[in-house]
Amino acid sequence: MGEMSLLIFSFALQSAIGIMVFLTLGLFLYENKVFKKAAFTAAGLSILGVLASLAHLGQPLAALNALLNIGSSWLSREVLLSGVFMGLAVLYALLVQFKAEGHGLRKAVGCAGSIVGLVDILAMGKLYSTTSVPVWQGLNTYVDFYATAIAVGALLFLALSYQELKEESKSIYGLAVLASVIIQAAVAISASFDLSIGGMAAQASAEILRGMAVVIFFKWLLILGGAAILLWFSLSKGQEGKTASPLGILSLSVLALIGGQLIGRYTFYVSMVVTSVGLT
Amino acid sequence: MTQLGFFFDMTACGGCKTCQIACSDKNDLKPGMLFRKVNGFEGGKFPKPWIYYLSTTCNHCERPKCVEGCPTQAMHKLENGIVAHDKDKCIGCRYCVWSCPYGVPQFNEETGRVGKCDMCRDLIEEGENPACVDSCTMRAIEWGDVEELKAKYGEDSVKDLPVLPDSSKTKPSVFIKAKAEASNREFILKED
Ligand code: SF4
Ligand code: SF4
Repeated sequence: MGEMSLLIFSFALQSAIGIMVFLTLGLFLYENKVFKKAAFTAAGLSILGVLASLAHLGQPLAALNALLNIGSSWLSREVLLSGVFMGLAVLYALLVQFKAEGHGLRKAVGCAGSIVGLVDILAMGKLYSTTSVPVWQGLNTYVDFYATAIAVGALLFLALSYQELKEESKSIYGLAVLASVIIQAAVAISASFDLSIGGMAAQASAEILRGMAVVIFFKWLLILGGAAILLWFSLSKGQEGKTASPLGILSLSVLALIGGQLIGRYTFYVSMVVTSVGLT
Repeated sequence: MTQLGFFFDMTACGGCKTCQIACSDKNDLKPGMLFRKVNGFEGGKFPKPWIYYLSTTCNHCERPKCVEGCPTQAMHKLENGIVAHDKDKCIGCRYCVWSCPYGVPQFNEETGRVGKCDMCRDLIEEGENPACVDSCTMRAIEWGDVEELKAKYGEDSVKDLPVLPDSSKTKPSVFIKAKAEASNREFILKED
């Protein structure tokens, strides 16, 4: 698939943004924790994403030209926001590493990173939904992007900060993930109905998605299953030792949910049809 | 600001593709890339089958989505309304390929940039016609200021056909004198 680099970019950045949001919430919820692993993962994912996006370009060395049309291009705006987000994520990680005190500064950088990141996801949604690709138009694209960020972000934050959060209640993460994937599924179902009654290009996309029905079934099975496992895990408190291994269960949830979301993002790109009667 | 555009007479076109070939030749295009294309659409049943041809290229839209979305301003509108492409600015992000509802910009793997019809602006500046216009043996393609084209053909031409995207999206600078069959919603894209 030609859009593999964009798949990596959008997924890595959205995951990093989600981690940053939950990490920042964590700074306010719990005293004096820094969430080092989560911070480095967010920084690493955002660097990976930006590098992947360069690989998509025919002229990667001229990538900075992409900032020349902030005035009207959502792609320009998204490039700018993603770059700033990456900078803030890296800055946060550096603060954790080299500045043990400075909790206030970390909070400020975390807040800035979360806000820039959340606006960046809006720009990503705009950039896809304003193209001439019917399958990308509409609410579904935004909901899918935000749900990915929240679900993957919360889950990865929890898994990476497991030691630091050992004593804390984890139910909010379980509930946040489940709520976001249920909304994601509901909006996706209504979008697929709209698609099948759309124009030629929409029909062509619907046809591709129909051909992938089994794959899409597994996507939802993994996403909803992963979220359900997490909820069960996050609600069962003080049972360590009784349940198999808490980290094992958490990893299972991470694998299922991320696997499902990656399949979903793959179908997002392969179902794209611009127009049925173009020049090629 | 003026706005140049194309007129296409479907009733005269026999689908010979000379315009397509002349265009590819003028723009030195490698196989796999086209800046103008002739598509055939067929339908009906014996004893009343039908076919019509549509020669399309960039419509140098009044509200070009390619220009709006291009992050580098490589796609830009000239004073005369032509939507031109600056290859030095282009980074090959292919966003214009997704933006244009007419599937016009083409990505060239070799150069890592896109390309598309510029209405043969070099020829126009020398007072000549675009290559497609001159090559058509049926005189089915014309070019000019949209106001003049409208005065001449506005009455019996359209911008919308069932095979084309909704013209309200980009306001294409094109006038198509359509055959009656072209309003048919049931059609098959003819294979080359
Ligand atoms: S036809 Fe497509 S490429 Fe040409 S000006 Fe309109 S939107 Fe741009
Ligand atoms: S491929 Fe080039 S012309 Fe097209 S949107 Fe990207 S930078 Fe602009």
